[in-house]
Amino acid sequence: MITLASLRQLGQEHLGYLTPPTRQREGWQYLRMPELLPTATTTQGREIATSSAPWQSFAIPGAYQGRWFQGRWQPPVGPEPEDGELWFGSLGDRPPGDPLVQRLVGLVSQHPATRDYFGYSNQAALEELAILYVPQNRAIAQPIQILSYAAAQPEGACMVVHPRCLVVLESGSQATLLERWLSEDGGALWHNGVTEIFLGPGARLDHVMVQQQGSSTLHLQTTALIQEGHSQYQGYALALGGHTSRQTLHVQQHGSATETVLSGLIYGDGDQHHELYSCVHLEHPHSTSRQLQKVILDGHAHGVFWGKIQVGQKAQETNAGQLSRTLLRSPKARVDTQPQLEILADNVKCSHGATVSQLDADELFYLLSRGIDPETATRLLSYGFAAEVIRQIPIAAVRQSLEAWLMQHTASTVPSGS
Amino acid sequence: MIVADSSEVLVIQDLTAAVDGVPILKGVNLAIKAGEIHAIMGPNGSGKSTLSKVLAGHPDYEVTGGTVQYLGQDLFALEPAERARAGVFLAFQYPIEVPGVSNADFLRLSYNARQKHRGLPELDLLDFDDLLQQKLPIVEMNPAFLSRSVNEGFSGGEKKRNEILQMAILEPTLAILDETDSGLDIDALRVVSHGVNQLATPHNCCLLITHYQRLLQYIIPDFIHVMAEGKISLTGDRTLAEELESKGYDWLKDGDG
Repeated sequence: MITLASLRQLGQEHLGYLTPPTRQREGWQYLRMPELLPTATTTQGREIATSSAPWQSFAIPGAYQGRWFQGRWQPPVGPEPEDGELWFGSLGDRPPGDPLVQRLVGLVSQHPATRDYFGYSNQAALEELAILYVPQNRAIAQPIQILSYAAAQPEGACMVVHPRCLVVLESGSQATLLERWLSEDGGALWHNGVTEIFLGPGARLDHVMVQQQGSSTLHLQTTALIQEGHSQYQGYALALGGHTSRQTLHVQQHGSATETVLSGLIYGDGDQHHELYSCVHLEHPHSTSRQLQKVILDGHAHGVFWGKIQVGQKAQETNAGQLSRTLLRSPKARVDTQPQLEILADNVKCSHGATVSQLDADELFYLLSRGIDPETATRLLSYGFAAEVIRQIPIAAVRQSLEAWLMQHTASTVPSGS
Repeated sequence: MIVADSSEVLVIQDLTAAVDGVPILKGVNLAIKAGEIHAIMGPNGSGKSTLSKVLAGHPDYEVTGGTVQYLGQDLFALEPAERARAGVFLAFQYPIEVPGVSNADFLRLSYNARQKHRGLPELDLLDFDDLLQQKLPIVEMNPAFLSRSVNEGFSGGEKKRNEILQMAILEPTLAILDETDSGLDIDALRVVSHGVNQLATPHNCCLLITHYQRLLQYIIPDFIHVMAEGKISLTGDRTLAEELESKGYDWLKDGDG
């Protein structure tokens, strides 16, 4: 029987053989990873009451909400879906011998993207496993939100949290999941999260990920996805906060005619460093993969987009498109963007493109010529640049809060003319 | 319309300007009074569009000499946005697409900037929508274009209608229409011209820049100026347009200076 304890032990064993990636490792050249990791860590945060976290400001009307608080799972609150067979909670809710429990724990760490130093670090610390399980042919109308909040101690060892979520949508089911990662600005925090997702045949998941961590947070998050035939995944990944962040999105295809749509926005300012690593691995025919990544950088911020699309020999008639567009709002900002296409099948349609630009002088002049002041015009254009991603987000409350966030954060800079 | 004793809105004297160090305007003189419609015609490259960009304050155009008084004030002392708020409006020859910014938001921001400058109340979403609904018929515009991104995916005619809609909302004192007729079919030209005619009052004025006489059959100018080689070489009444249409621009070179 697999238990959390046995998974934890397995994680610890694997971790014993691994070291953090150095810059020599492919895909890790922009982070001084071993040095970035804290030498001393604690799981203890600042002593605050659960109720004093800013849950309210991030509540989504009508959403069913589960919470990671100080790295520990809290039972969900909010209107429970009428469908009693939906399981949103944690593994501990049910007896370990339950057949469904055994099936689900058997899925942990099956995805290759979770089998690295960070995945096993997470597994080695596994105390709880958040579960979203949607039975066959159920469409859950209300959004499901998983909020993560941590407040580290202002001094001393760096706090570490390892939230882990398992999302399983059985065949023909549908859900909308929102993960939001938050923390206090003050003390040092290392977030090392893993979310594993399994989409059964014909299932559909809309998945919004918003990283709005505090300014002293190192945010590492792996989202590992397996898609069965005819399933659809729409992922929206927004990296806005934290000091250094890296999100890995890894999609494995286990059947034909799958659809994968990834939309992303990175917004960096000051000395923030954001990375998005995505890999879509297609091994079956007739599938579609579309990706749009927007990057806005101000100050000294550094953004990295590394997007791989692997089309295996059997993945005939794949239609894959990828586009990354970067807006540099400051001369000191920097972006590294690297699309990678590996195509072994001979009958496929694959495209990729990357643009890097500053604010368009003609667009700016057009707004000025209508009486809009330079600061508002700059803000509007930056916002417009991000809007293509924001507007697709299927939860209105999230869309609105992100619009407001962007309007506020893009206000600072006035460009120095054309 | 020519209005007796009306005040001068725009007075351009010996204006010279350059782009990338190349002189384009070489001493333009022009005065426009309230109520008047002036047209500037001329061959390609004569400096017509440069004049419009200079008046609006485009950063690529460098003023090298001369003066422009707008309502008795030095126009060049104002930043582009300030000129707009003070009532100068340029309808672009090629209206710019602004992805991600809704046309309605853009129009409301512009309108409120102007209202604020005049010390008048700014309008909220609902009240502004009422105003828009009043103005849309002026250019026979489909309301669906309000929720789309500014000019994005608009046809040539839709873009020009959108320009005139902005003009209708901002109610400029000086409207400069840069080749507004270019790329328009006859129906769009009729709609756009009709819009401009509806907006003309004894208190505002209009400067039409056009290559062809066609527009001037719909918007009747009080004066026509011919621009050649960076200067206004000839001024006349509306009959000058017909003469230009039959003779072309070449004969001017012989008669010039």
